[in-house]
Amino acid sequence: MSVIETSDLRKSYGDIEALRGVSLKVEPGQIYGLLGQNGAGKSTLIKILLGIVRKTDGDAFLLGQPAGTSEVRKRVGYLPEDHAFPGYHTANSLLDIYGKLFGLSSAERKKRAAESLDIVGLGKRADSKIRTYSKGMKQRLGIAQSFFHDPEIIFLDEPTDGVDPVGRKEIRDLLQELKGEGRTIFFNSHLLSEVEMISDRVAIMHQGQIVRQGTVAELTRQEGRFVIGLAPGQEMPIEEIDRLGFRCETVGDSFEVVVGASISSIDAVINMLLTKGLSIRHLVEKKQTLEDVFVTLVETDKSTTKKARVARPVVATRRNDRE
Amino acid sequence: MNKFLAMLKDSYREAVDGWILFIMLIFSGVVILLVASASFTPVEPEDALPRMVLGEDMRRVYADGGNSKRVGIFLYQVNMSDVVVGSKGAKPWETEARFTISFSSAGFGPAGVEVDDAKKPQDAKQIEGGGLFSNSFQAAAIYWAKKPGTLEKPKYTEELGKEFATHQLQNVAGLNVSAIEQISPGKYRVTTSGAKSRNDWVHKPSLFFGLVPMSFLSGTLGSLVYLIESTLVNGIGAWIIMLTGVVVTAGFVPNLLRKGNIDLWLTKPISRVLILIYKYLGGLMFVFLLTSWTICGIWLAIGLRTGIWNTGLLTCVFGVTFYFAILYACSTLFGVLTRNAIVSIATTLVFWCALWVIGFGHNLIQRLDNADIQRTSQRTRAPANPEAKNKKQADDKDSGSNAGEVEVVDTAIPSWLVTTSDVLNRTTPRTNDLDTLTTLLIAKGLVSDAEMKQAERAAGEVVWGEVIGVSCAWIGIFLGLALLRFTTRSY
Repeated sequence: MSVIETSDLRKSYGDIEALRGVSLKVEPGQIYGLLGQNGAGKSTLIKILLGIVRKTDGDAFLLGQPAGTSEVRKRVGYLPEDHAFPGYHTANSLLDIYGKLFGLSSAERKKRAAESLDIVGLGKRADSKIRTYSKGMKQRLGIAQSFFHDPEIIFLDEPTDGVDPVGRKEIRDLLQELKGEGRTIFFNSHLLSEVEMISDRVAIMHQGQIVRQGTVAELTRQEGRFVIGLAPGQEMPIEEIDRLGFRCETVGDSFEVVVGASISSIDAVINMLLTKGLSIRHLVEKKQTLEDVFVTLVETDKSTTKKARVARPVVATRRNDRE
Repeated sequence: MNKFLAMLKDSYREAVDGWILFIMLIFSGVVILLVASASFTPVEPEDALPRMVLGEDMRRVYADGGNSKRVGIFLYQVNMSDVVVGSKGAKPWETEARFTISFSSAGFGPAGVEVDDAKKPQDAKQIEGGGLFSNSFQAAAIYWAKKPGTLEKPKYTEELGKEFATHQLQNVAGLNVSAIEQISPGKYRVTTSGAKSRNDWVHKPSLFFGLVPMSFLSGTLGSLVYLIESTLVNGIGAWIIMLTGVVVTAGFVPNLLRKGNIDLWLTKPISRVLILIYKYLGGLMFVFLLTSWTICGIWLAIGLRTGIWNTGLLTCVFGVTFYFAILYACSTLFGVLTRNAIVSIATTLVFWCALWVIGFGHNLIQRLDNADIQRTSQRTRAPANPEAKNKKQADDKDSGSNAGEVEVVDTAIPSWLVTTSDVLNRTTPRTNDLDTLTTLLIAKGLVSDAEMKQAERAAGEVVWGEVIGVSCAWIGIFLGLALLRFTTRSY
């Protein structure tokens, strides 16, 4: 059973459509990354799932129950993007109050707060006022409060925002650890490399719609493009490859052969090269980075949209106007 | 309950985070210490007795043996002579003394002025007067013994005169009259065993344990304590606490709704209704604690210094908090609507001022209207409503009475203004009436019976159930609108 499921989810702010029929499913124990430009609708989607924003239409379920109910929220943790923890609290006092709201006993609150803050490296500053924290420390506190009450699903909106590279690595490791404990993690980010590194599945949102989703491997695979390296001094028989019906391009010291949708066609090229006595030093199926996929999708959509002159959200329209 | 405590704790931390609360606590502490340093020295009988017997209140007479709220101010004079003080003990207010008291006419004006219920129809109103240069003491005694609403007047006798004089000395001057003998009508030889209680005895106050005398404020101990309590609690103190409360708590709701903070609250397993209600109660708790600290401190200090443990003062904690609950409901609504503390403070202060203006304006208009009616009735003895007026004029003509004596004076306050102020006053929270309520609570047990009746009369015909009901309805409307907005909005 999916722990998160939406079906044709829509949200409009007046004439602006923030979500335009979002449908997705997240299975238990996955790290699910949501990619998108600013204003794509990522935060809106999470906020609808948590009951912060009211949906306009469609369905959203968490853990098999309608999203946003008090019962469901007990089993969910959340780190908002621009969190503003009250500066008059200390990390301990804040977690104590949140723990009370989750119905934790006094002993549980103390124990879990101490453990969570230690995990994110804030143990020594647990009794300092939050207003004295750096941005990175506040982000760590935000992550601690999102999991300290032992939730089944954790929503993280830009979890590594404002954190230094070492801290980011620690957060990535923590997310893997939480995943290892069987929790589902649903997170937004515009840092594509991070999403690529830790996500089991990724969805790309653009202008309120999910335009692609799948595993990282599925999204980044570029079907039918192989990089071939020959032994030093040997020349690639490009014309003969052309005669086989495939295209060959020189990229630095290597060659890229495009065989199209039928990946097994590369066998014909390899056989031909071996028959000619050439030594193949390496053969790799070329993949795109997530960034390549994302940029391509967005750019394609922009050009399509320009041509089609379809009405778009205000933010995107303004950007286009400037262009 | 745990959730409520969590929200309360959050509000508490927010409140104590700023410096205003600490300034307030220190300020209250200083006031409490100041009160605790006050000393009240009983005045010697030779000075105290004339102060008690010759006070203005002795001229104020209530009908029905002093039980009516209808007051008559009689222009008689009170004189005192031949004061003989017995042996003085450790408690001057228990000293035995003898003196002669005489009630004589002031020699001018009407001896009796009846003030009837101003809201009564004019033609139903009883108009009485002692007549010029009548024996004002006798008129007063008759008025005192008379049951309101009856036409029959009691007959003046020596016994009635003694009863009236004794009543005035005991219930107005606060003396224990052990014997009274008539020398002549209106003149008596009185034996007293001191004041009814220490509260009724004249004291001289001083500050800093007697270092700074404040003799100019001397009065009965009860009236001095009343002065302190009503000034500090119902006057300046309540005003400062209320203003501080408005400023400090105005940020609670806007801070809650701050982007990045509200998201965190809304994702916790607590309903939006409870979040806002708890936040509102958190604000009230702030004022409740501040008021409790101040009032209980003053109560304790006064109790220790005077032995007067006025429980009425303690109940004012709830009165002040309820008053603030009205203002904070307004602040909460505008906090939800605008998410701006400054706007919340400004609108709450405007609302507060509007309530004060409505209350003050209504009282003023009522007073002017009543005075106008009374003036008209005294000059004309004519009914105020046009039909009755015409009937009376026709009757006078028929009976051949002198039409020149009838001077019809129309009321100067337009009826639409009276109606408008009445409607506004009835339909808005009556903060002025709440002030009156706390005044009455404080006064009970501190001031003389006569003064208490005066305070009750000032409260007029306030229906407390209506006052509290209308205020609760406004709180409900403000919070209802705030909740409607808060629960339906996307954040």
